[in-house]
Amino acid sequence: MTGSRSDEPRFTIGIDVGGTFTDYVADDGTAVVKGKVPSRPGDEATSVLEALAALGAGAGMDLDRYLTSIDSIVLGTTVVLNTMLEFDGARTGLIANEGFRDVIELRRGHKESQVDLSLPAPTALIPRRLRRTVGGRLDFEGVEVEPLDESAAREQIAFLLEEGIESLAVCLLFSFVDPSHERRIAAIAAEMAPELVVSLSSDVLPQIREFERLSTTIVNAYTSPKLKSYLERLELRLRDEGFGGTLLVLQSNGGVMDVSYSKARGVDSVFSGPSGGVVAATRIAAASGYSNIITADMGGTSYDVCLVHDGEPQLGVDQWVGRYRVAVPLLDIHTVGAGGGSLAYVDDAQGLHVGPESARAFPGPACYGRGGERPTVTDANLVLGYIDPDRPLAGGLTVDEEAARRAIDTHVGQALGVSTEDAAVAIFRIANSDMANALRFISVSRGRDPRDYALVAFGGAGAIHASVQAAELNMATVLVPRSASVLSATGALMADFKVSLVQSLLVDWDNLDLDELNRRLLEMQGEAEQLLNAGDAPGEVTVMRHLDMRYAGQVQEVIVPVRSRTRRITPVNLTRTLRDFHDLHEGLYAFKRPGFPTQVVSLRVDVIAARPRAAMTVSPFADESPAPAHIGRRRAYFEDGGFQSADIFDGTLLQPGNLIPGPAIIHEADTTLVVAPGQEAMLDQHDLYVIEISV
Amino acid sequence: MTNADSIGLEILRRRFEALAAELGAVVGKLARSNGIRENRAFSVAILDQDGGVVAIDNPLHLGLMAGGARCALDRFRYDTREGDVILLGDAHEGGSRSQDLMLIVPITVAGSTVLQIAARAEMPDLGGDVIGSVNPAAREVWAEGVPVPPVKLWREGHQVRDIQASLLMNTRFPAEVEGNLEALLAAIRLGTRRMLAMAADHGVETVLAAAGHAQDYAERRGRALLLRWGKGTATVRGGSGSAGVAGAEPSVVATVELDEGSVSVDLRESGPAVSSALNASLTTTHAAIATAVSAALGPEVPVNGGLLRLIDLRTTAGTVVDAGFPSAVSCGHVYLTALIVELVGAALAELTKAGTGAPARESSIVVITPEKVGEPPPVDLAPFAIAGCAGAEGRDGWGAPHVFSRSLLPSAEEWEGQMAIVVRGMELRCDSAGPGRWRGAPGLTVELGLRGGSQVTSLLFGDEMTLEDPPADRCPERAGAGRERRLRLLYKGGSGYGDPQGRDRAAVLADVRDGLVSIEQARSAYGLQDEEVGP
Repeated sequence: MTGSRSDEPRFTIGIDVGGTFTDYVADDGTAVVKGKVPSRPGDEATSVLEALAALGAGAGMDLDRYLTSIDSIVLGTTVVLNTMLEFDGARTGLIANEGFRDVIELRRGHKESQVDLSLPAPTALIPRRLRRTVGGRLDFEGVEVEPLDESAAREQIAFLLEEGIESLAVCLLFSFVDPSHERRIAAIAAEMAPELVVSLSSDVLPQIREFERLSTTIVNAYTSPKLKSYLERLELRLRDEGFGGTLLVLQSNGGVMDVSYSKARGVDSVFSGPSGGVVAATRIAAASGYSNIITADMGGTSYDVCLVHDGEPQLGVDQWVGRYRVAVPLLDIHTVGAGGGSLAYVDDAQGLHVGPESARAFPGPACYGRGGERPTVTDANLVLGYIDPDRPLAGGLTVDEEAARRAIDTHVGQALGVSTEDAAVAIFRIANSDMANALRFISVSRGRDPRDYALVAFGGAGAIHASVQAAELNMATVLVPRSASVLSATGALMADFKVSLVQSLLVDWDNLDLDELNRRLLEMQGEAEQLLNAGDAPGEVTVMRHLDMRYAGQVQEVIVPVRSRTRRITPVNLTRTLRDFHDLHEGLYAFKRPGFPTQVVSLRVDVIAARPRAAMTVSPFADESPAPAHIGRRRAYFEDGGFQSADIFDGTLLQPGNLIPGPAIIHEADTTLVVAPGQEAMLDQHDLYVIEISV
Repeated sequence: MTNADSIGLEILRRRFEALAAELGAVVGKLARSNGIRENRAFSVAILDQDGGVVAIDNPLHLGLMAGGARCALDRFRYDTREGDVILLGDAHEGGSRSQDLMLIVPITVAGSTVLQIAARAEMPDLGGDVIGSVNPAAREVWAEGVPVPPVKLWREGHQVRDIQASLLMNTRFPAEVEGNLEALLAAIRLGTRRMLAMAADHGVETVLAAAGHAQDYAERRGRALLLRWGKGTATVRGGSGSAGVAGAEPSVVATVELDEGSVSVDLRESGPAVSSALNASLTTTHAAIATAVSAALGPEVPVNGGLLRLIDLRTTAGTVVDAGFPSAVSCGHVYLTALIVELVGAALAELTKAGTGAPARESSIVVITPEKVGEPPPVDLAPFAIAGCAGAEGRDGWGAPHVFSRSLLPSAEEWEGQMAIVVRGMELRCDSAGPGRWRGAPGLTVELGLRGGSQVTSLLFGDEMTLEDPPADRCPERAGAGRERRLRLLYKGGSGYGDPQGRDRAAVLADVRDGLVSIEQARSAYGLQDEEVGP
């Protein structure tokens, strides 16, 4: 923090680099400033620096002076996710047990479709010639039944180095019981090539099931060098420009970690950006008294939903990224291919489809006037009156309603034999149904009733669709943060330090040794605390423990929280955990089998260290009347009553306490809210729109 | 779809599909036996009042569901009430083989059945001469299990205990069968709850209209594609000598005709039913044809009763593809399903010039059965057969044929901890992939260590198997575990597509470097020249 004066404000910055825009949020402890700059595809470092320059300019400082006034920068990054979509990661090699060279290619027999005979194999992250094996084997209890063939390990590593690998994944059977063979291979690799990036499966995911552990380890090995290079380059540039604070990276588990942790654990930041939105939505909703929410982020190509129960975003372990299994604990974000840019088309049996093919950022929807001729959800939203044809979109883009109408009429209206407006309605409804099915999947199919949750909508068009979806699912409330368009960056500002560890321990419940369980959990907690201390000086520390449990013979576990007030689990805690397992099982699958043999498969420990809270403005309530923000009326479509005149409001002029009855449309800086007839919107004291839906 | 109302029906059609997938996932997670958890030999479907399949989670079972539903309807058309659960398990009455059970439950509103939910799954054993009910030597259906004609397992919300007791009495693994039925019922109850909520939200009439729309749409979509392919006829024939079953060589002859938007499959020239378990029930054959047609039409045509309307199937009773009561069918269900899908799929590929290659290949049957009752249930090794996918225009073969890729290979680590089977390795085999411009999927070597006295039942079609003690110096022994016998399976690869000489040279060289193609085969099959090989 050289060169700064003590009376100057100190900033914490959240930055989320997305595909089209880089969003930023700055907090100086008293106020929050937000904005966005266009992203530089393929050059996240420059995007970050341009965001910082924009922030500096807003604060009346040049970049180097502004950088000296920053305490910490928290990044949401798409480097890892893009690496897994573009397949441009590091040249990676693998060392596995003899006979297990092809586990990654066999992928437990999984194919994404049984009837799509044209479906090709996934892109190989490691070609077969770089997948090598060594002798040596442990059994399921960790007993060495064949010693590690160290000379073979040397030979294989030498071969891989000769082949030019930059990164090495090592995954041996039962390394989650005893990592010694993997560690020995890492030591040999370090001797032979100190610069080689090595990912051990026993470090990345010490969990039973070799394919899931291997795939996760390979994704880590493949993506980490690129993330490392990006973070090191960025940190160097920032330091050169005078930055003396801490650089942190948002993780897929909803926490943040420092650069030294992040650059070795690429797989942990695969959903870095999306998790920021969930964290922010959770915090903002909680401040206004909503702890049970479903977050819905509608972007250009996708719609991401996540369920938050009792203030805790749910964690999932079932994700596939780039057709590779990623089994580290991630926020349980479910994605469907329905976004603003999703293309609508009619098949030869007159069936209307929306997505998953997208018009992408370029050329984008037909109404962008950049050469796109096929209709998208955004085009339908324009024709239906939700988007103001005279108001530039984010980034200053103007829209061409005539082009939108032409595209919809040509590709949908004529094919279905309906008017352009009816065709737009049809596109809107089909897109909504796909999004509502995603909301059902994340709630109903996991034993939750959506009626118990509020829907938090964000992303550019999320709040256009939210009230219709909420009504369909009988949800009573829609929440839209005023910062909806920069929510991931806001989340980066709000997230705490967090380490999520998992360790397999396959044991029948009746044979569970409480002392052994406590010993292992404390060991994991110690490891997590050590990792956290490497970051900023942590604040209050919270520890959460879970057991993965199942009835004997099942293949899938239920993650059960262990409620304990102390560092140790007591017999009473354990009894309660078993009861909770039966109840959770019943909630998920409509039955339980108390008395049936139960197993523990894995232990989970999350250690969370609080970061200083971002400033949350609390504004006093103004008058109920929103009249000063009323800027006109426009014809718009509503399911209840068809096209009708709606009140239009400039959201930036609305005051907390203003009450807006539907039909109404509120234009915020980069977001639009649609309030249907019979619904009411109110801006609350935390800059959160609350839309009440009569169900 | 021509107006806004039909959009509403389309939205409900998608809800049906999402629900069927969700319910299928529930069965997979909850079931007790490995045939369901890993082989994933199960399905859940939403049916209309007439047994038409509205949505199903497993395309392989479309014809099986329709057959079972038709049979249940014939038996109980005027005798179905709220709370009834109908059980079926007779290969020759709407079924496939004795060990596959199906449950059908009516969804009633105000006392009338509006829709039905059905679930079916493979059980680990339902009696017969051998443990596991897979009996290659069986000559009659009783030697491979106890047929269960349509009966009520629950009547108006009350379990019919004598039926349940009788069923569990006739299996060597009652706990597993009971657990599996519990899983099927859990999914059905969940589905019923969801469907009733849908009916309450949208009205019964709308939901029924949507069930009709779903099937009409699939039919329209499929017909449009078939019309685009025009007319044509192709005849294909196949069958196989199988290791270990004398005098039992099934012969299948299929004449496939595309005409005016429909597919006619004539199997009447097929050979007579054989005196072994290598026969198929008519329901099995119908399901295989539906699978082949669905694969030819591709993912754009929903898999439901509408697709079945496109198919005209002709068979002669008493032939191997329509073997009547009391023919044995426990192995034919697996073998002939694959063979018919392969033959009919190949004929359709030829007629449509779709370049999809063969959608299936013959499937070997390898089951590890316990020495005696009281030991863990049989283990079907079908999920290990991750090989056999043919090459197709634009892609090499990979893994198992797509239509049979539903199985989930067990985790070697979980198996070793929980079963008397140790996975010693499974690797792709050099030169096992059929050459082609787009080569087939490589074959696979699987090595398993067997402990204890388990038996291996096998019926091999083109694959190889050995079972032997390992060399003493390579035999890892553990106290009490005894010596491991080594089971070695060599699964053959998939066939190639197109002229191998036209294969991209870089792809040939990559296969050589990856150890999938030897330099000798690269020269002989792909015409690789020495100067192309490089240093």
